[in-house]
Amino acid sequence: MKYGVIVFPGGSAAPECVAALRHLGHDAELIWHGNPAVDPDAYDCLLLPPGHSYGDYLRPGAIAKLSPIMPSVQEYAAGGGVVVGFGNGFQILLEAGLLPGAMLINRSCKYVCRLQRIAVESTKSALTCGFQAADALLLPIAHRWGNYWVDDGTLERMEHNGQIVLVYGDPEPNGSLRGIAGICNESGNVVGTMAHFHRAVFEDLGSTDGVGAFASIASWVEKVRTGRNGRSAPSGRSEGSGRSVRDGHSARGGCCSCRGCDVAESAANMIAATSVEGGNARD
Amino acid sequence: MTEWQKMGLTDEEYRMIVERLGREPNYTELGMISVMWSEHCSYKNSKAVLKTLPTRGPQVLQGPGENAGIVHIGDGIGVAFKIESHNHPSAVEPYEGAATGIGGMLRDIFTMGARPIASLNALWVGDLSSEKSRWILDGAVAGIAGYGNAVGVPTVAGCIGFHRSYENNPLVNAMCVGVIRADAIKRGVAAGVGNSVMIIGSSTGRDGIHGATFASADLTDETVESKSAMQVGDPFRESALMEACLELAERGCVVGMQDMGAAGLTCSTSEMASRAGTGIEIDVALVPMREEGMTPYEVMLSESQERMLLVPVPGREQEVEAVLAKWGLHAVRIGTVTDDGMVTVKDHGSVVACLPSALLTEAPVYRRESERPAYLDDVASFDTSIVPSPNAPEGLDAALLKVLASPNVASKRWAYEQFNTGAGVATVADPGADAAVVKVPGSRRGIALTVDCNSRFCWLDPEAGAAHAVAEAARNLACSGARPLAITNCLNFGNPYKPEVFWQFERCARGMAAACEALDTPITGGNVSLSNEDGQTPIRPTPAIGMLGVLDDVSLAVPSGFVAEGDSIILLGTTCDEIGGSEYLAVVHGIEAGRIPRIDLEAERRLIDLLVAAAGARLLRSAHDVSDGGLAVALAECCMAGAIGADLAVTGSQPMPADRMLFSESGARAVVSAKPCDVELLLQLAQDMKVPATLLGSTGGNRLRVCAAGSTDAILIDLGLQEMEQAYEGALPCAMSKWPARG
Repeated sequence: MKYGVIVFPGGSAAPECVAALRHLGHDAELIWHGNPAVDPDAYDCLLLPPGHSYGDYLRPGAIAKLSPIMPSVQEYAAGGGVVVGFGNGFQILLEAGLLPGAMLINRSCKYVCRLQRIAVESTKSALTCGFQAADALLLPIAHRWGNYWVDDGTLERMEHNGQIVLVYGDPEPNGSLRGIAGICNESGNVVGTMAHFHRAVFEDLGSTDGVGAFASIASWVEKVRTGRNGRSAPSGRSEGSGRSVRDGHSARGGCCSCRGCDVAESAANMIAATSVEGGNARD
Repeated sequence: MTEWQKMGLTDEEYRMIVERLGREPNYTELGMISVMWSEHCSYKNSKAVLKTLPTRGPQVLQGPGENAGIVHIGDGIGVAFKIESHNHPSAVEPYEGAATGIGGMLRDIFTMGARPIASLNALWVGDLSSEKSRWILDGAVAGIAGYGNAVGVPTVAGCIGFHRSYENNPLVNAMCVGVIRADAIKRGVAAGVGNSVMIIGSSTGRDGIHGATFASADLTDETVESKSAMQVGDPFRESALMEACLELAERGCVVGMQDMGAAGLTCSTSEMASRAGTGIEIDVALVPMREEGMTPYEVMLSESQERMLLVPVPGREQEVEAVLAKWGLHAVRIGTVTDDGMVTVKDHGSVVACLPSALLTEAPVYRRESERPAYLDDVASFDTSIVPSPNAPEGLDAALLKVLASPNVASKRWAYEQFNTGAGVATVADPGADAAVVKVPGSRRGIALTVDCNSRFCWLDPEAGAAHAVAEAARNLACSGARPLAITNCLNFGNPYKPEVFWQFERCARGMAAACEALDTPITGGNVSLSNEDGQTPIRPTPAIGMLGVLDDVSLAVPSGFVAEGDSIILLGTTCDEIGGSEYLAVVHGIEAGRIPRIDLEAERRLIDLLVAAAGARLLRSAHDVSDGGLAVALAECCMAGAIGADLAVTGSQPMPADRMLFSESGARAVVSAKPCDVELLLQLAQDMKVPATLLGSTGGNRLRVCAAGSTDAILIDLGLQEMEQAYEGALPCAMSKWPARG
């Protein structure tokens, strides 16, 4: 499995996502948002990380959706590639129209950060296909704009299609319509959730309920690769591919030569090296 | 009123300036001197006392005098940390005041080349029955969240205290912690004559002019009125500036760097020149400005946020510009380092100010008049033996619930759920614990962090109270399994020109020094905030102690709550008849008086050593220090944190009424739990290390049941977990839900 984690300015959690993915034994690299093209064959999954891209100015995700990389994220998703957004990443997917609906400010108008009970409602998505419906998870949330809203007609269609994948348990944190904590698109390959699954994979940080989500993604990708989900398999790694973002620059560990990624990369390495169970973390 | 009086200088100080300068200063120069000679920048009223604090130790890589202190935690890893006040801005505009407080602290850390990994905050506000206090607390917490969360640095610990003396003058102290290789520390020096001087970051506006002067005066209607536009924070720019500065440091582009906080360009130019023994010449016309028609005076005194002064390695100016441009920020060469020891300010080439940097950075030092406050005669002599103990168990149950619901004791979840505690996936123990524990990047080690102060103790007995504050912070760290290493302090007091206030300040410093010596925790820096009063009532003396400790292996971290049924509960230390100054006395009997618990620094030291040793030997399942609310509250907190009840019997150093055993705030105590098979070893270890240890009972069930030792039928406390939780968790949300009451 190889993840591409997109770095938006102010998207401060990109390094910790990479650290978590490497901790789980996956390959992961950072992609600077200024890159105009993503090689669809280079990654098994694109992850839009939490954070506060562009300081959440205007609305969370409203500026990031205009980033040069976004058209190719759209293309990647349209081709059946797995695109997952946590927190701010979810907000960006909504703003970009990759997922239906919108985010309002939390009903309390306050930021809320806690371990939240969240139930799996649909296993139709790439993020939840490995769970059982009604599985109860304990997952970190941290946001001020997580109050999900969508119009009645769309909501009905989403329910009918099994696109509501995660719902909050009690006490609900933000006033979301129908307690919605995560949704997917019609074909299930684009998923957004306010839950920070990547923060729930370390044994010493309170919960490991997030591990199953990454196993889900891996099995989804595997099914695609073997042709059972309708999308042709990614044709191996990007080395040698002329369209590769990575090859477009003299990469030193990061996706490209820009220092934005180098700095984030070194932060990710630092986090990975911290892990007590460091055995799984790659350098 | 003369111009210098308006700027906060005395006639005597003005005469001194004219004499040292050999001429009258012009208006711009007067503004620069007055702000540098404010208490906030110069510590002129506190320096003499600060010199008495211990600041040295083998662990200290950088002591006071730089942007932040740095301590060696082993393996060549340095930890930079510092606490600072942003009290007066927060009184006027709580959100931006608190937000820019966080921003300034973050810059102090990454200025040194260290990557921020954690923030803490310490807040004191008035009673929550007051609308104003609720407005301030709500805004300050939102400001810390809004800024800190957006930058992506986790807020991992803090404290909130309540008393009416803070109603008009709240305390908002922010602390930040970063990591750096011990050999890569950057300092704020303008070295190398001929080197460029650059301003990097945001542009300069008219916000915060004379902020430091404002911070150094009493908070009256007139001073609030005179305050120019508040500083406004931009966390998005801050995060970009942080990445840019760390990148510059990593690339080796930096000779010296300093953030612009109080007194902006004036402070950063004069301090950097003064530290290096050089001079600096700048032209303000080159400074990127966000408003038109700014005068040199305004540019030199602006406190616009998210700016730094940088002296780059010669020849690498373009590289600096390129790095900053990538992050969307300015980098402009505004002058050069000179050899004349002067801060020379030009405007389009003509000199508008020229002052010796030493004149700016060396304000006169005063030893203010000091006198024991009269109130102490009444309150300290109060005889607590006349206080009746409530009936057992109903009266004591009710008393415990009342203390648990007291805002000083109650859960601060309402506040810390607004902070992104988990950012960076390194926070092992978050604000609910005794101390936060954070994994150190690139190491097995962890650091433990806490900030606290019992200002009622400090008001009743400044010397012992300050010593208690240090001891409690050290106990908090030790309970988490960490060895206490060093302190950063924020000394919040009233107007130092009042002899009674200065006496409190002196005594607190004395108590703090003694405790730091005894516990081997030197002070590596911090901040003094005086004149915290509304023109009449000074705040209670509040020397906030921010303490850093280290765990050699972060997996040794000990939680504060009970973890399993059937574990044995042990009290380390001895409970004495000491309810003077206690939370119990205040909330149950309405009395804030009496002699505070005796401070025994040797006993504290032994307890800390024992806790660290026992954690290292993995003998502890949980450990929680006993402080506000006494043993009863500590036990209730252990039960609630672990959602496990307990059944136990308590005793005291001598026969005493039941309420004393439960609510005395005697120092040098901790409640620990251990597997039954480890109890013998633990008790033996305690005996070897000369710490009294008493087996109280065991964990289990869903109630807290406490009886008096020797008479198991004498039930003192019998409360369900849920009932306690309602009081403890419900208090703050309930008090704050009265918001918004303000139109």
